[in-house]
Amino acid sequence: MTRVFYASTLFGAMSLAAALDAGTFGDRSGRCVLIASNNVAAPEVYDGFVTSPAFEPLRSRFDEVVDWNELIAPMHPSKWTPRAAEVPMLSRLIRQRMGLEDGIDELVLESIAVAPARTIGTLFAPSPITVYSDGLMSYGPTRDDLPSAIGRRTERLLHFDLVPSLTPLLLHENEIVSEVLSEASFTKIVGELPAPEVGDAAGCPVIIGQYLSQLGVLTPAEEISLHDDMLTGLVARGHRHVVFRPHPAAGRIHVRPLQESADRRGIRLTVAADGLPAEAWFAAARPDLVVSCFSTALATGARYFGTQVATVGTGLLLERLTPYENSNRIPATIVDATVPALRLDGTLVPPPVLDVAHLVRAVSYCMQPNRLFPLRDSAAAYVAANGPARYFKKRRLQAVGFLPTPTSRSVTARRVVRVGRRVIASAQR
Amino acid sequence: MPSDSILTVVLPVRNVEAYLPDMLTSLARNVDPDFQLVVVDDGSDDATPRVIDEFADQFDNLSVIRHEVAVGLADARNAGVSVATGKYVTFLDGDDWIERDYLRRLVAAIERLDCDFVRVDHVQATGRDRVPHLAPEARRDVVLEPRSGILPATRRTMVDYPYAWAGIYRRDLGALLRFPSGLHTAEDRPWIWRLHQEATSYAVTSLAGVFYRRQVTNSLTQIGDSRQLHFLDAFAQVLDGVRREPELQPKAIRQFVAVLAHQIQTSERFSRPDRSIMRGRAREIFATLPPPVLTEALPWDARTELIEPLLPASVRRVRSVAS
Repeated sequence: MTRVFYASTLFGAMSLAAALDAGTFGDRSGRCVLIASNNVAAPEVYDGFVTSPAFEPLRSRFDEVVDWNELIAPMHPSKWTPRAAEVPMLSRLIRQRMGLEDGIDELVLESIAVAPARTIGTLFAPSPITVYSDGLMSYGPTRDDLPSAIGRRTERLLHFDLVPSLTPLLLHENEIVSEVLSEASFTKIVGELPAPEVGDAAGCPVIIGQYLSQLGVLTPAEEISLHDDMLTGLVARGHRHVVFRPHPAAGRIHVRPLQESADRRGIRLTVAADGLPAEAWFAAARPDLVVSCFSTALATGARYFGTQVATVGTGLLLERLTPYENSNRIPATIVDATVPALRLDGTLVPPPVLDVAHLVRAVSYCMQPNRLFPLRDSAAAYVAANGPARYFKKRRLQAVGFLPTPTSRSVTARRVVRVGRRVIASAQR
Repeated sequence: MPSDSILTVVLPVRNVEAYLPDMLTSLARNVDPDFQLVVVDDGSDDATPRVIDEFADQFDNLSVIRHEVAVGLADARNAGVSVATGKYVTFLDGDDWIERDYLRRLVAAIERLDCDFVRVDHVQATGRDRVPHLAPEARRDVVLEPRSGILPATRRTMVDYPYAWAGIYRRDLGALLRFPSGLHTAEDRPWIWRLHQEATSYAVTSLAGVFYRRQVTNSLTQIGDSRQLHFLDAFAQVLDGVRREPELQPKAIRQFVAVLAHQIQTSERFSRPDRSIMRGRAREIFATLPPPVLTEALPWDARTELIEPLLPASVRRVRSVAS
């Protein structure tokens, strides 16, 4: 039995290790090859997770670790895909190089819709594919239609049960079997990681940085001011010592402004840029409160470590995410609808009481109306009952026919038609 | 400051706060006790100086030169070279980045080949797209005469690959390493010509460790600033340098015509007075060239058509008869 796994983040590798430990892949008698890819903008500068000390305890779960960046250098994993005519040759050469000529019994991939997972799926056809999903995106729709050469081979989805009231929608259209990744195995793996140096920051609230300006959702200045708002809220709650975990790819950019702001207020800021996952910090430091915009760490913190969590900025995010089908919309929606918001005056505003499962399905339908057409009636009922506020865009609702389209030949009307066409075109892609 | 560094890296920077962390991080990963880093901050008015400060403790042998007022890339590089202590010098740009172990391999190449300078390949990066670019000389890892890298006029040669950062140079080349003072653009054109005309040995090795970032919007090459007109001064120097070398003149002329045609094609970005200055200076430069050599050297293609009105009347007449 030979299995090939692919991971691009430490969290992904932890998810795989948890699945292996929990017996998701049987008795582990076969060979396990991990393809590790570093997909940051300049992987030549910033090391991938395999060189992090945090990966060492996980390494023994795999017989070999293959560096995908090195294999395809100087191409970038997120960009390089073989031309169709060259797939047989490249598949042969890469199998030879990886010692996989005798076939692969199972491919285990994350983010299957895009390179490099999709590339790996193409090169290692026709092995059956298991998809594992790292976080809240598993509750949203598939972003791009998978070519049938990949979609038909995709058999199961492994996911964390981060929001118990939800079931995954990812790859729903492929009639895939969902399996929950073991919480016990995951927290055990967190316990195996090197302990972060908590010092006297134990219990202090934590700000988890994302890299929303790199996604083009916020400007760099807006992102800095978002972190500042988080700090303001925590200070208003009486905290004098705050921990900041910058996004691994944005460390240098985000630390300085927040440090300067903390210095001005006379607040102590501990920067935890240790290459360890946020969960390792939660386990070691047991923070009072974890604040972020819509990081999956809010869900893992609340669910697996019993931490109080809060969000700042999801309203702006929901407004900004474009196009409507942007995959980050579902994590942002879930966090907005389930996590208390931290205000500048320090108050925690509980989320609105909503049928979150119904909401997530309605938003998902509007994101991918073609692919998720069986959810249409349910989505229409949700919008009829709750109105279009906050989670929906007027034009998108008009495009899917949930709001009347203006009949006059006004500019708006033409624009709606255009949006509608774009929706149809993107759904048909 | 230790006087026996192997390599000095000269890094001129100007308003690159967003990109410099990548370059400095990659340099810190290349760090070696025998390497000297000279950062020349050429009049930045963004957070570039603070970024340099943040990284300062990661380099044992770092010199920072600050120009309050920008003097341009040429003089910024010259300022860096003037404090260099290394046996060899290489140049880098603040918005690019290098691969792990690149500098050590670069030094190993020139030590092994034992010549005046060694040129290398590079990778152009546009977002996550990567395109490898090869130095035009196909003979690798053999010591060559620098003059053999100039011709033929009709093919891309080493003088068409002028990037100073794609190579390593013996510091005792002295004046040959100096960039023409005052130039804010195309400073590498006269520089590479002179190097190939006057140095005694060079080689090309297959090493592509520099990642050259494309589409940087504040990069000077995309701004229709009057400093862009410095390409005219640069080519006046190149053409002056081959005045007594008739066999090299066609190559220099064709290069000038290609660059000039490109500038004319994209001249909407220049102000009206700048466009007029450009045409006037180009006419003057053409007038200094021997008409028969100029006539002979001009390519029979769209580029010449674009620059035709700027040619001396005698050359235009010969061409119109020939066609």
